[in-house]
Amino acid sequence: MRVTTRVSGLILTACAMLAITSCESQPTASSAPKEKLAIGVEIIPTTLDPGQTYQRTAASILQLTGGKLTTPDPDGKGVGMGLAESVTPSDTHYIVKLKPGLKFSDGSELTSQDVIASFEYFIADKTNGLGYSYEAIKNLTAVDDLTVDFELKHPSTALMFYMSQPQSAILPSESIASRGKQLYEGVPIPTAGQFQVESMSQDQITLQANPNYAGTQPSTKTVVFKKIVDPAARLAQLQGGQIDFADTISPKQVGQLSDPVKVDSYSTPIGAYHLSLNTRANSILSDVRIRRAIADAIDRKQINEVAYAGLSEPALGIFGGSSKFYEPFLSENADVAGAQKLLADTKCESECSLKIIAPSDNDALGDTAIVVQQNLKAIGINAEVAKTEAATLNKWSADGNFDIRVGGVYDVGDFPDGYLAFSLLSEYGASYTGYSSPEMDKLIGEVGSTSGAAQTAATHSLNAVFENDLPVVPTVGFTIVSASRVPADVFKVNANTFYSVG
Amino acid sequence: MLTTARVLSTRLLQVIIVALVVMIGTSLLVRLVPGDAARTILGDKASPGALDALRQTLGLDRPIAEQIFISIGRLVQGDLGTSFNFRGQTVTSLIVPALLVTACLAALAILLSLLVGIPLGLGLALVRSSGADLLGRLSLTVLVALPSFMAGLILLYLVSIRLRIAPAGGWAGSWPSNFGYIWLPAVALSLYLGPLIARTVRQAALETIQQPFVEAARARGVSRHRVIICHVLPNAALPVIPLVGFNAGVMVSGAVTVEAIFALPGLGAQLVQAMGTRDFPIVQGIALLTAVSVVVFNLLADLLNLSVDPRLRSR
Repeated sequence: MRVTTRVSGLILTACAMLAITSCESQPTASSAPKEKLAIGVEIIPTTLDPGQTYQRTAASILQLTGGKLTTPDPDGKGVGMGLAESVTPSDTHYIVKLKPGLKFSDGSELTSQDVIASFEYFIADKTNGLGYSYEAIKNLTAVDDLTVDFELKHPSTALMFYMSQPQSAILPSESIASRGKQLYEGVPIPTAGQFQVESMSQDQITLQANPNYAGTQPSTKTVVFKKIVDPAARLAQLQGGQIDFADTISPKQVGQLSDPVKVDSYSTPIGAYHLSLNTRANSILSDVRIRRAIADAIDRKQINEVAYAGLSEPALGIFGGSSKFYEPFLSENADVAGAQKLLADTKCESECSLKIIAPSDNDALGDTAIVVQQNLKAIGINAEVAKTEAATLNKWSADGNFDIRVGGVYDVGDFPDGYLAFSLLSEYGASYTGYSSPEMDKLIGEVGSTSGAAQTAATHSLNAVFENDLPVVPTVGFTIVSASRVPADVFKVNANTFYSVG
Repeated sequence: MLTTARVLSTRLLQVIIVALVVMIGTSLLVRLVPGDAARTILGDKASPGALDALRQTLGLDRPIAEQIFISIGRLVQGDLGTSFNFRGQTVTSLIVPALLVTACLAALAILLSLLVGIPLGLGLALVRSSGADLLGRLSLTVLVALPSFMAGLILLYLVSIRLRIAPAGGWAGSWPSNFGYIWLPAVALSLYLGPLIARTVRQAALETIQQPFVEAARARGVSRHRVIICHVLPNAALPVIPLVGFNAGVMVSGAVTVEAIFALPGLGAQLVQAMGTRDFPIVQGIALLTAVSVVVFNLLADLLNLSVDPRLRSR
């Protein structure tokens, strides 16, 4: 009886869907600049503390409010000046000169004392998840009201880049002194960015243009970020006109978009979706020959078409395709014969079994896992796919309870040391692979502390070590797909992953 | 009177036992689920030192037994604790607004179910064995079998996206504007309970119609309408009270999925997020609140049943 009723329910549903799809009605739209924008996002900040806000959309919201010394270029390939008029780097000093007349959103002056108090606060906070950003800083000294001397422990080309990130937003020294550890609790503190926080709840954060912002004032005065966890619900609200922009939709949904809703996709300058291969001794993939065989067996073009609707591109090296450090060595298509040859005399020569883990809340990564499973089948490797939610996935990953983890790493600018640290540095677990190579660790350090020709040479050597060891296998570029009903000059996500409000 | 007192005392004891069991059970279960709250807050890029520091701040470095003991100690003092994820905010301040959303959704869904289900069930009983009755029963069976999330998706697509007569989700944040956002999810949720009520009322009405007192009323010359309204309906509607009471838990679980589809900021959405981020205090708070609410709802149903059915009072 239960089966009968459920079948009846499904038939009725199918009939209803068919009937519904037959009646078309086009939504109306406006492309004019708007005073107020509503943006649907998966996650909004649960705290205004950028040090505990790592997730991309939440960090992008805080990026709009925070005033930083430098500003990331929209394409993520460099940084320009922000609150700073100039930054003069040398081997062990950064001399930062502030623009004159800077103010916080409450009208109070922003001086070198605020810069020092802010960075000292960030460094002292041991729970700061982005604490690595300040690792190079040894000491801070106010030269005058507008000039700060950042003394460094060692040369750091990336500090200029970290200064442009939300975790380095300058805060009023008065708030830091009066609130202490409760700095981000209660009423939002004044900001020096393009926007200020007007209100914040569990489900919505409203930003208001900051009248004292030193840069260009946006035409849009109010931006409301609404938490809509389910991507299909975000898209439904976008199609229905409740929101103007749906940040991150499943690439599968691109085909469902109809005018005036358009797809908005971007690839980060550095980074890739990849397969983390468990190199620990307990995994079959501790054998580098099998890792290389997997890298050859992967059909990156197929992954791009199936999982990313063709909106990404095959990633053929550790860096993203648009990175200046990109050195491709992998193939776009699967090389089954080559992969099988590599498996000779390994545990997978005749047949072997692997466990692939993937997040259950990310369609594209889930689809990637299925394609990889099929690709591996072609070379005689049986793979079981297990999907689970993020916290469990991270636990499995940290415990080495997997053979292949489908994921990815990106960074918001073409400054490779942070990206490399999270991808390949042994101290950070090398993307959960357990990979530990003193040579790689040393090269990552060199890439981060050099510039120009020396950095290029270090990166080249690093690429060679990576090609040899392959703890992670790049699949496609790090691409985020969103949908919008407003023009890009009104609102968009830049390649640096941050929002741009016109 | 004695019966009412017995029901009250039994249910109150149940509330206390349920609260304790749920508190200890969820405290233990959420900590046995794999996952690290500090990692979900700080992300992949956090250093081991930062993770350790945050675990210490959140009290996660203590033994599980000690964490549970602290939770229960707080509960006894009426304190549900502080959220891990929403720093500095108490669990109570976070879940009460969400509870109101879910309560409104469930209440509206129950109201709609009653308003539609009772007359429909009665109507079907009056036209029993006809084509309309057959069609009605078939439709009710299909609707009962239709999961809430499927009903929600169909309504979202049809009513919001195609017909554009309701927003495709969201929440106004103020009353009465919220009604514009809640009525469609309530309809989706009522598509389970409404048909159940209609089927129950139909069956009860068919039985009541056969009762001697109905025959007697007709024999006394009481009009057909009066017989139905005054004699059949009150008796046919009686089983609806325990039915709604017993389905309170189902309504809450249905609300979880419907809230996700319509992006309502209710307990369901909050519970999913809290589980995802391993925000144990929030999970414990919601589990406790939900369990106690279901027991209290059943108590109300029992009391209502006692007050309207004299036969129960005489037992």
